[in-house]
Amino acid sequence: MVKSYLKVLLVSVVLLGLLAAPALAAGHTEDPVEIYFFPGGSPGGSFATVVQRGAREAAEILGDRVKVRYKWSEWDPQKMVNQLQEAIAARPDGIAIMGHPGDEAYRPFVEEAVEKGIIVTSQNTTLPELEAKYKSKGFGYVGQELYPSGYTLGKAAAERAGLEEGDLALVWGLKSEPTRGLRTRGAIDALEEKGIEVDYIEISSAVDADAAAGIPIITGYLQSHPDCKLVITDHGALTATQEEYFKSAGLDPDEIYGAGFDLSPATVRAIRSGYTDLVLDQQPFLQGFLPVMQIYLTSKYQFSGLHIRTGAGLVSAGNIEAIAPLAEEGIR
Amino acid sequence: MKNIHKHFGGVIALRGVDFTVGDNEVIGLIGDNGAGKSTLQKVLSGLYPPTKGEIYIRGEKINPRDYSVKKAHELGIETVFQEKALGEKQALWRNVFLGRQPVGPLGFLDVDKAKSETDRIMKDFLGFTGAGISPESTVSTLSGGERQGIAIGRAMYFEADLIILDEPTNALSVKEIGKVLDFIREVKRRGKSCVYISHTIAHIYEVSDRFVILDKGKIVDRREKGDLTEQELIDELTHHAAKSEEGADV
Amino acid sequence: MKLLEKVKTYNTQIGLTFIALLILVLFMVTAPGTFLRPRIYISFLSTTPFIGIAGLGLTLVLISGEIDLSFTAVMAFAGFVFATVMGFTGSIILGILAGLAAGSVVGMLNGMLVTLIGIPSIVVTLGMQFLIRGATNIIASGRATTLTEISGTPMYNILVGEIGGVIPAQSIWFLALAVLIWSLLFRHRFGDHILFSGDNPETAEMMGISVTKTKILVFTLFGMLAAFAGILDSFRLRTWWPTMGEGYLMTTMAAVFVGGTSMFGGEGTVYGTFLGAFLIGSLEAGIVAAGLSGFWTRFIYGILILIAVTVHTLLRRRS
Repeated sequence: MVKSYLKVLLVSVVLLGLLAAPALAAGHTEDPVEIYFFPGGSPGGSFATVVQRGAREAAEILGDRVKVRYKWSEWDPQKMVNQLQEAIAARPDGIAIMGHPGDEAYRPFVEEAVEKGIIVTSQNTTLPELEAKYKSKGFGYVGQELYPSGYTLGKAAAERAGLEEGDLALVWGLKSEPTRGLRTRGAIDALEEKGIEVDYIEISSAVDADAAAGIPIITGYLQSHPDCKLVITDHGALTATQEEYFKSAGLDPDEIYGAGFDLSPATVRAIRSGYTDLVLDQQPFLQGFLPVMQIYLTSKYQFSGLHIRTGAGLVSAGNIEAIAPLAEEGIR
Repeated sequence: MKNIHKHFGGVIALRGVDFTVGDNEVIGLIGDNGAGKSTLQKVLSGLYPPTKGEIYIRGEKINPRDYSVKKAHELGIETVFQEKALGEKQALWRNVFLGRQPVGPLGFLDVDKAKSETDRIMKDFLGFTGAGISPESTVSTLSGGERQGIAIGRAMYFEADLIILDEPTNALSVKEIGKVLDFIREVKRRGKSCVYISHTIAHIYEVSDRFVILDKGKIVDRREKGDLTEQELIDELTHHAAKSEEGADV
Repeated sequence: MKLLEKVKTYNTQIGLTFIALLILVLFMVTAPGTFLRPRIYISFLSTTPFIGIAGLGLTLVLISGEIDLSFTAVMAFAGFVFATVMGFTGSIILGILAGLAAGSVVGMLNGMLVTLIGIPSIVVTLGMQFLIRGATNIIASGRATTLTEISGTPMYNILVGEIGGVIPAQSIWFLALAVLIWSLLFRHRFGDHILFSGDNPETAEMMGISVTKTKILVFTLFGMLAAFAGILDSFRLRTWWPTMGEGYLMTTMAAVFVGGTSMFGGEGTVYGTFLGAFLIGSLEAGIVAAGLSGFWTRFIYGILILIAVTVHTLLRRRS
């Protein structure tokens, strides 16, 4: 029996040693600015990877002056709060968080971080109260204004699709999340103001993590609502999957107007094929690049937090060709 | 005086069974598979209520609705089952006191008492000596015969006046079978009664005083040991089995 | 009891403690800046109890021979009931009691469907998971609720406040519940009933124990524990989302199985679940602090789970 214990011991040590090796091998340089960065989804997920790409580019430019670690949360607000606590414990110089959990849930931890001299900044989803409070300590925001973005897209989509009062549209979004839900609400409000009838479906966590899981849902909806003229998917990955969604519902590109958020190679294809007609790009690359810079600059020169709006352009078949190459590279 | 008289009608498994166990005797309940032995045992143990009929224990009539396993234990009736008597992953002391744990006011176990009593059972009733088995041992570490021993010891410890054994020698080695039969003789020696259920005639014949043969839910024969030899008993049983196969559904 | 026998009986716990220590040392070596300072451990004390408390309940259900996949939905549901009742009545205590009651009712329903109708528990609780999660979404119209008003109240401090300014109260609750559940399971009559219901239900019935009643009670108890965890989490975040708890299903199960409780029922370890919760809860932080990219996290979870469960199964077979 002692023998079997020893065997177990040996195997565990070897395995764990193998796992530790890469970490130990990484050399140490003198005093880089240590940053913990929240890209959002999962490693390899379409939107979050672009964000991380931006952060990595910033890290590369800064070279030895920064060291960035990434905490992936699969868009789960509870996980984000946990990860903030863990990040604080690691005593970095700065933490870049996403606002999904909301001001209230984050409050005591951000307070603690700032007290400990850690710079906190945000991207992708706003944290209005915390940003206002800690702006001078470097709390900035890089991302879109959620409500206005949703509203802009909703209004533009309805106009370009030629929808009138009484027409039916579907919004598939994340109304339930405190700040993140504002974009969904913006889109719904814009449509309802025009007298359009809006059906709403909440993105479940399964679909949030894997857009393909939504195929049966959207197919079911579209087949039972043949008079639906417009579909807005308030989620980068879902927008990237619109071509699959509409195809499996048996629709031609002209039979339905697809609108959504965020570019990706798949979205570019869908725009070119006509399935997706209008996309609001929030330039996620910048949401990774700029917060890293923000933390670095504040750390060195005590600059205050910058509020940078990245939700600018509407992309459609009209201007897709200019942007396509960048989207394919994972920059837009 | 132990006197259990049962009369059922209409229970599909048992039809109009009259069954009596007297003071200090061992009854061999014999029947082929499907004869209804198991059902009769379960009614006796308090697990199943009879659909129809009466139960008298020590001359007093018992309300079938009141009769349960707990009640049976209180009245001194214990059962030793094949294979189903013990929880294999649990310690011996838990098994012995299952359902009758010594408890404090809030239901918390008196573990010391349970363990020491189990120890006593193992030594006094069963003659277990050291040999690496303790009250904390898990049942899965015991052999088949030792497990039966624990089950029987449990019944004896709780001072059963009537011990019902359901197929106690199945899957046991020759030596262990001998031990079980010794236990039964010991039960008789202490002045208690036994109902030994089986279809292995040889063992039953050795230790029983009377035989009751069950077939298709009915009692088809009763014999005293002195009346017939083992071979004659086997012939009886075969005769009844053949008769029922002919479809004479009485 | 002789020492060797004692070691044999507790070998899963010893093996687990050993693995945990090994991993801790590994963390300390690869990320000394983080793991040689107290702050990270305090954050674990803050974040682990939620899967830990749920894990305790799951351990009981597994020991009784069943499984329950609905607890994350119960966590969210109870949190919602708590927030709503508190909003209506203005009383935190009433909200908490209502939340606990809500969880217990769902648990009881689970138990009844499993025992009285005979549907396998994996199916019942899977369906219940969707049912309750969906019902919560419907009633809440998909909206999150902020509960700012509870911070600073006495109940807040008792449940999730910082004891002595340092220790998160939820970890004390976790510890207390772990001790309580251990006593209930291994030193109480009811615990005997649970063990035998999972080990050999026929034996239990033959000895006069109602397996039906036992299982219903166990499910109800789990419902209450899950509700408590959900309410605690709502307190900690001072916010309630309809998606609460969703990320906890896999991690809680991982914690329990890494801890050493068997899928087959009849045996289990509370200490294992307690330690397993901390192991699973801390793994990702350690991986990131060591500098490994996010891709490693799942892989290492997988290795840990498989190694731990293999070791437990082999050790169990030996005894």
